Amino acid sequence: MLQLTINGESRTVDADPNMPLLWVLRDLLQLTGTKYGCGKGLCGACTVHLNGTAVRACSLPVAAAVGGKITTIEGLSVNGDHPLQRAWTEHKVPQCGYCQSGQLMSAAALLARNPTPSAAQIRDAMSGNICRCGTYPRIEAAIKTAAGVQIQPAQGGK
Amino acid sequence: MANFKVVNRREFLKLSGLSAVGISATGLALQASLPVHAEWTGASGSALSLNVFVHIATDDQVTIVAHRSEMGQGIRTGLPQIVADELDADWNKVNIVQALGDKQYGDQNTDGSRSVVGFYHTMREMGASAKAMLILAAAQAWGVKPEECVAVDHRVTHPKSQRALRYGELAERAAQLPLPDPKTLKYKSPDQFKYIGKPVPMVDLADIVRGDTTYGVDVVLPDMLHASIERCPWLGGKIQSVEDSAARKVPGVVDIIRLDGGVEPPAFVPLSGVAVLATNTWSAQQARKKLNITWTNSGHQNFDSEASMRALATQLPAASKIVRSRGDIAKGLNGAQQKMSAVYTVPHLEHATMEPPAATARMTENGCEVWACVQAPQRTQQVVAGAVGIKPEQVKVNVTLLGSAFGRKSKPDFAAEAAFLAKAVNRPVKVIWSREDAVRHGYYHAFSVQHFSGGLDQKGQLIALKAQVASPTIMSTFAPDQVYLQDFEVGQGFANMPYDIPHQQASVHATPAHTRIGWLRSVYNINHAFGVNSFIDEAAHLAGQDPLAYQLAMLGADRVVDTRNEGFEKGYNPEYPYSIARMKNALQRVKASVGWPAKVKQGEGWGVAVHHSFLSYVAVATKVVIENNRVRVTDVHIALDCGQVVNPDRVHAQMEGAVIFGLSLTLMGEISFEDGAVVQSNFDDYPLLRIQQSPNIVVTLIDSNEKHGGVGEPGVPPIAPSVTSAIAAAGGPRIRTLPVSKQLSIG
Repeated sequence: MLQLTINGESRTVDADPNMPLLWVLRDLLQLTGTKYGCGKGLCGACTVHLNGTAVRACSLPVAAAVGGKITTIEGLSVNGDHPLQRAWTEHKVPQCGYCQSGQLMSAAALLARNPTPSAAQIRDAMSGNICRCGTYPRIEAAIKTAAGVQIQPAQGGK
Repeated sequence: MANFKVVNRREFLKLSGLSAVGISATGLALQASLPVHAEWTGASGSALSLNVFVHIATDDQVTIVAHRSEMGQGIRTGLPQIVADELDADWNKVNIVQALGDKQYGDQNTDGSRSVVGFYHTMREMGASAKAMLILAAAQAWGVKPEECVAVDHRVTHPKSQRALRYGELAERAAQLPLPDPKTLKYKSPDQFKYIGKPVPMVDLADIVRGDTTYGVDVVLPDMLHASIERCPWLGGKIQSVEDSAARKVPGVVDIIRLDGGVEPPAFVPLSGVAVLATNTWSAQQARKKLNITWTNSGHQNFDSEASMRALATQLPAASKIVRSRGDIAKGLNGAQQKMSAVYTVPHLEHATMEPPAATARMTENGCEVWACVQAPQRTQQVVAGAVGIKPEQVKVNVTLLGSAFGRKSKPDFAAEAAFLAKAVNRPVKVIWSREDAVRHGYYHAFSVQHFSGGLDQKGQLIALKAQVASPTIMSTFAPDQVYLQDFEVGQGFANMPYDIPHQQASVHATPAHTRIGWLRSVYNINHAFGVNSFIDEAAHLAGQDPLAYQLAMLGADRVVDTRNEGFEKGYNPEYPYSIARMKNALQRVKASVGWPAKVKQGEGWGVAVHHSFLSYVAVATKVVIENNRVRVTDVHIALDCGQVVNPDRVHAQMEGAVIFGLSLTLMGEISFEDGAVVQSNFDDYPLLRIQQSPNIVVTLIDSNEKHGGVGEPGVPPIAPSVTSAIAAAGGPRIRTLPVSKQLSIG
């Protein structure tokens, strides 16, 4: 039995320690917001946070996540109102939507460590996430918008 | 598997929705009038049916049925927004439900960029019909004439007496009324549209950003097993032997089942394979690696795609058919001042949907129930029925969201796999293809080798053009011994080239298929737009003329393309005439967008291309920068004339997506075969464009009152030739063999 902390909740799973976190989330815990895309860390569809850092759940053995804090798309915000989720809505980013959980999780990890990324930093941080529908221009625009929202308190702070 | 049936050509045409007149330039079978009163099984208890598509609950909630599959094109929003507009419904009180596969909805085969083309009028009729019933219900309630009543914003009002009733209050009475005669229905004029033509957000947007959606991979049933299937690497092979004792020992494995496929032609029948069924995906995948399977040989086992294409580039097979002939090609070529020739090659491609094929199935008392990311739910009923030996009407198909599709998910072989396995183990089964499975066992875009010869007059104008193509046909997947491209394939920009060239000949050359040939976003238009536009661009360079001006000149005077007297009967569509004026206008708009001819620095260049497909017209201008043999696409301007537009934001999004899809295939897309098996496996060796490679994209949506054209596909074809022409303009090599990465590195 393995003890995991996912989206602030403690969960116990009976899994092979080598099972990738992705399949633990999806098959054992029915947290299906995290998607399978390649199984090799090549496309980013399975991106989640481990202690605030973006990781590819398809390539991370679940044993490596024991003791850490795991955040999935389901736990990114309580009401779907993370600045990035609001910006994604404003820019109407998704087409098919399949990769967007991973895109949002990569973007959230970026903004958490760098609230005001440059365009080059955005592209660098998002380069591991493939979108086959081609929503890249809107992803970049939405991250810029969300970054603006996030830095407002700092700019306007008295 | 004995029940898997191979369809013949005629059945295929029926089954696939690909009529002989084709899915593109040459015609669309539009919807006949639909049955409007039928039982809708998806309605909640309180919803009252006004017709198949419109249901209203007493609490005012309007439910609109989305009967086409959502794969990112926005159709679950676009068609209901048409209904809601004619219904005068409040969009905030509209709920969308996805239809089951059921012929009561008419054509559900979401393919060929034709959802709006085929259903715009039907959706208006459904809205207007329901509204007429609500108005009559109110008039009867008030004892007034219906003509004195108006529907506004989810209510019917009687202005004279200032009375009003909400739709919810009228639903019960309206549902009892007979259907209005369609001829009596009143429709809005465009200036009255409230939702049509507006950028209504996708109905699934809020759920997508929360990860709260159900795709094919996400379905969970009680007691369900997860299957991972090892399939024969080459087409037509059968299982010779299976040694599975090690695999059976892997914890979590429940059963191992043979899929005895390998039929030819393959149609939608599952390939030969051995399925590991386990309590979770990981166990199934691990155990699968321990299988030891030998496969029988087949006639495709020696297929080497690169060698085949090289041979075809050197020498075309003599076995051929002329599909169009105009003027006297020999005379035209012999009389030319300058001659030119070129061979253009496009490899096989795979759809690479972000969500791989996935389906979940269970046997029920009355048949089989399937949940799957399918583009064609009625076809899925038929194919699943064949897999488990029941009738199509006994198969219930629930359509999930599709994590992109591009034509792959029109082929429901994966749903048949899930159903077959569910029957075999008598438990619900979910099949998820791995990325490697998807890349290696697809329905591939057909490779193409095109030989062009041309002759220029003293002014540099092309006066003769001979076009020969060798390419496997989609029909080979469905019928034996099919080696020639069909009318619906050469009608995609090859036999109906638009240029005003007096001497033309187009021919197709025998090309056997050695894999499952399918259709991929814009299909043969990709190959033909690349060949034709490239050749025109090369002619412009040879003539020393500006390529965009040359394109306009070669298109000639405004007219309708009509090849009926030139041997290509299907090259004319009276309902949707192929207009040179619209073609030229698209070029003019992209010219204006760029400010063509734009100034460039050393190593930079612009290329232009234009193509008509799926009833729409698209011109593209692309800028590249080349440094040290490394090419980067920096800007793509795309102008689309798709007639009237339902949702401009989603049309913009489709153009953005088409640019990026087109760049992936142009720059780095290649599926190759060695020893009959696909060489590539995942995104490392079958790469897709990434965000840092994404150019600045400028979309021009041309205002038009013309009939609706397609949107999902027509943006793709002109991308490749615009890029390769830009590379030539920038001083790089003339790239005639895709992808570009064979010759230049990609920045």
